[in-house]
Amino acid sequence: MKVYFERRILLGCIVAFAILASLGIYTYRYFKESTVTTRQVTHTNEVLYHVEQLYSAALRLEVGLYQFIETGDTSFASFYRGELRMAAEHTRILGALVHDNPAQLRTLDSMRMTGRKKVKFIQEVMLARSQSVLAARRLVPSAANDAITKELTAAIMQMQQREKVLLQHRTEASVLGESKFMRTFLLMQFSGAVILVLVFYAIHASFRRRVLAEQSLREVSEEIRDLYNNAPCGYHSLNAEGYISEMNNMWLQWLGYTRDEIVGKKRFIDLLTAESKSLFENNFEKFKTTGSVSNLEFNLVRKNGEGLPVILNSTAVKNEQGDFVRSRSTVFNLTERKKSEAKIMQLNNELEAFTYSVSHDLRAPLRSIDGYARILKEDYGPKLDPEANRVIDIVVRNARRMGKLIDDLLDFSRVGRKELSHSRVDFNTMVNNLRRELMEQEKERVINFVVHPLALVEGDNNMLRQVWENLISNALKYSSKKPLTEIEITCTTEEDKTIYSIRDNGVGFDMKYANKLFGVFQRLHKVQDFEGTGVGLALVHRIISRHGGKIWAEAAVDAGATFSFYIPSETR
Amino acid sequence: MTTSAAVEILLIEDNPDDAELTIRVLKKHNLANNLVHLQDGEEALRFLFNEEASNIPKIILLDLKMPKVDGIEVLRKIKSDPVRKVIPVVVLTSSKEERDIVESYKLGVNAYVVKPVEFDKFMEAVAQLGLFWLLLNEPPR
Repeated sequence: MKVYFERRILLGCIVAFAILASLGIYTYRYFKESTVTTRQVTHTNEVLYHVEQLYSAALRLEVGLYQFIETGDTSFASFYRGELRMAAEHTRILGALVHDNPAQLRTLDSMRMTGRKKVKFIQEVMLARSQSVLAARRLVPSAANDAITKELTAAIMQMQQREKVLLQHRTEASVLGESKFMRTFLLMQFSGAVILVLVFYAIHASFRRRVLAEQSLREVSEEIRDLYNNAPCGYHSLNAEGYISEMNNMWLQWLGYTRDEIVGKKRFIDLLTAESKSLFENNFEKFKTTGSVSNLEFNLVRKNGEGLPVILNSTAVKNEQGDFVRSRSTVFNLTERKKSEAKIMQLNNELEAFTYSVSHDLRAPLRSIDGYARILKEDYGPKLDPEANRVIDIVVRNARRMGKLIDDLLDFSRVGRKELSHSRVDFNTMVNNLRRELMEQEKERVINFVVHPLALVEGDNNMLRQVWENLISNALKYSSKKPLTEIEITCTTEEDKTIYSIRDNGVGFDMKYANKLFGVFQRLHKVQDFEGTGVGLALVHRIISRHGGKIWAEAAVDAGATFSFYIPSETR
Repeated sequence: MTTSAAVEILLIEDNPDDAELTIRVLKKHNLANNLVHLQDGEEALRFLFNEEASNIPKIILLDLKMPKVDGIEVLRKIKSDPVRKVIPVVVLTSSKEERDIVESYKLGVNAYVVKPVEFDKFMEAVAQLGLFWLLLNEPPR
């Protein structure tokens, strides 16, 4: 049996019970004792009574004896025998009464002896009287008789006295016992009452706490219910047969049904479109054993016939035997998301159409400008003056530059739209191959190019190759005016992040323009000094960002630049 | 444009400037003697699928973005025809778009060349194409 009381209440009850029990035992024992005392008092009174009787018998005999001497009445004999019998009876009773008191027994014995002496004397007197009055009168009064009488009286007195003292002691003890009992009784009763009051308060407090707890529990459960019903997502439970056993208000609102129309009446499958029905059938039985499904997309039919796309996550609630009891499912409304996705798809298509025409339509005229300018120079150059030739060169140069800009811009746009592929990328091979390829074009330069071992990374191989190609090209480009070019690629680990860096000893840049570094068409150097469209680093930045990573640079004017980046190990 | 000799190069290109530049380069290398230039896909299909004369060029240089019937469509028609599918087709286009490249190869294109904007590179690319397909390559007979 489980005890729900608090420990102190339990303890209080036990103590109160113990006090009541000991009160009972104590009272019982007291009354038993006081019965003994009463019996003893009665006993003493009995002893006194019989002693008294003996005494009065002795007195009566004495008086009777004197009268007999004078009158010689023969009835004395029967009177004497009667008294004697009675005295003997009283003595026997006394003997029984005081058998446990040696002092009294001894006195009783001496009384018996004295009694016998008295009897003997009376018999002597009766014998003398039968002869003559005078003979009898000579015997009475006598010193001997007086002594016997005195002795008897003394013994009786002694016995009486002893019993009275005993009685007094017993009465005193009884009174003392009574008052002690009363005190103890009251004390125990009082403490019992106090403890009961305390227990009552403790129970009251406990009860109060329980009531308050129940109240707050009720409030919390109401809050939870409110949350359940009005959360911005749908919650429902299905039983083993697939019937909806619970559904929150938000979900019902989406579907357009009332709770009574759904709960216990409809199976989840009844709400689905045909293709979603088969998805549900393929998953429900499996779900009951595996215990969870995630991110299943279902299409439902609302009460008014409209479609409702949702995404569902569910876990199974099982009993102690491991049998499926019900599902606990969370559902998000995908209507808005589907709309946005459709919109995004449309925008993407438009963007694609746009870039497609940019790619095609803008490049064709540029090629014509370049081509015909070249034909002009080739076929008519000798006939034209130097200024005309210079102008043609400018046309050609600008047409080419615009072609490069368009190409770079398209690359940049493509990186933003293209799906990331995922594979393990070996930076060592990639970087060393790139170094070899790019150094091929810089044969006349003196370059000290060191590549330290690089950790593997996960990501899109082609895009990451583009990153390294741009970074290495930049390092080679901006260090091209140094007599000795130094380039170093390293890989370090900081706080679980693997950081790849490329350092060169080129012209560097002023750190106050560092924020412009990764912007599209942002350049920190003149075209006359270093060729470029200002897209390369923007492209690198975009690729690293799409991998969830970060890129930054440190540099100083004429003191080289270091570009560093990291890519988280788990990219999406 | 009469075709006394067998057509060697069929250039399908809607942009007359690009066509002129291409022809100029091929001429420079003496490769344009038996060249036919058509302006769009419709003309090309009419020329290739002519009942009377079987026009089987040695090489087709095909632009993709053209009015009426585009290059992809022309390519599909050629490559799904049991007789004409042996004709080597080189797509010569301004488009660098992935989907065009993939689609062309799926349809069985023999090469895909993006026209460089710079004339130097353009000249080089066209010259190499002509030399390769007309002189080096061995077509089926």
